[in-house]
Amino acid sequence: MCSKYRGKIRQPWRQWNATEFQPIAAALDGLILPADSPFWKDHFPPWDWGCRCQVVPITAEEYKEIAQGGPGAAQGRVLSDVERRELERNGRLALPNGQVINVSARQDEGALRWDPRDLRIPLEDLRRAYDPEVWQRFAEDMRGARVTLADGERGTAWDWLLDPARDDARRQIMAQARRDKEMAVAIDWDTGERIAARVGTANSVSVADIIQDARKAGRRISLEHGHTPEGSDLPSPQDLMRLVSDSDVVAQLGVHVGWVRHTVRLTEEVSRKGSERLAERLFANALAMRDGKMSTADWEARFRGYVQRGVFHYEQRVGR
Amino acid sequence: MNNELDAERPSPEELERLKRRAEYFRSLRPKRNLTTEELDKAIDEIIKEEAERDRMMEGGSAKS
Repeated sequence: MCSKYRGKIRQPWRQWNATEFQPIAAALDGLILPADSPFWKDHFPPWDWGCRCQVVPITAEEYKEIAQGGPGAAQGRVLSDVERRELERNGRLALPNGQVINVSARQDEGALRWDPRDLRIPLEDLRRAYDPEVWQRFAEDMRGARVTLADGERGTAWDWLLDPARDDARRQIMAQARRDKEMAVAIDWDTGERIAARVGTANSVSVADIIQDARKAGRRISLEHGHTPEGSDLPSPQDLMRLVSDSDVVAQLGVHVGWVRHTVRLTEEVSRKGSERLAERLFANALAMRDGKMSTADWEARFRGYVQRGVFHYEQRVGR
Repeated sequence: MNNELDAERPSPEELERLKRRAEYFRSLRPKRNLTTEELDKAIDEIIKEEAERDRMMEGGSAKS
């Protein structure tokens, strides 16, 4: 058992072992490809709900024996370079009987797509696999379950599941920032699905319509955007005002500045009356900031006070 | 793309500073979840303190 998991260098191949006879899974049975083949990125079991197929590592010696038609040859199937390219690029697999079938990564209802280098299954795929009532309970449980994230930060399992969608948005926001463009991305808080994105010049990106559309559709969002690293790199008074005023829609705000990702949420227990009063105060701060009546240092001190008093949940994560 | 990102990579010292700051903000959080009453009270205090600070600053700038 353990010899199978010694790593890529000693076991540079992987083999698909089907334990069911769903047509595509059966067609893949015995298939051997390099461990770093792009095929494995979106073809990795479980590939469907209830799929019990496995992918096992193969050593260079085992591969050689199979490829040369040795005693283990019947256990596996090795493709020619041309066949492999056709499979990796176009998802078309030539069967031993000459038939060519389409095994493109599945995008249809109920299919699971996941990257084996990451334990996460996309939220949207998980949602499709549950009926609405079970999904609701699952989401509630995951929002309550605490996990330790890669950087040592404690977060909820939901934060962890939502991370890939936020990281993807972050990459694009930062790429736009390098072109002196601003970008805002709205991610569905319940599914991780990207529902809107806006790109514009500095201060021209309006998210009001995104929020309005989400409100009409009864959706909550994680609103991600970038800041230029001038002045304070913390979320601005306007950011917090947006979060508080539209807290029925904006579940959390992601602010991306250089190598730091800021995440801020209004604490759920804040009352409606409290949030209305807070929004008014933040509006005053936003005006003071705009008119140069409040220094960056003063804003940072106020921001620290909000975090210290528990009004906002705030975290910084450092990294690409 | 990776080259661009690598060019933006902060120095080890700067990275350490950023991580310390992240840890500092983490340490600011209250140690337990606060109730609605406690949070409403905190908001009242924030509003009062900030308004006072604004008045002082306006007074200061009026004098100067």
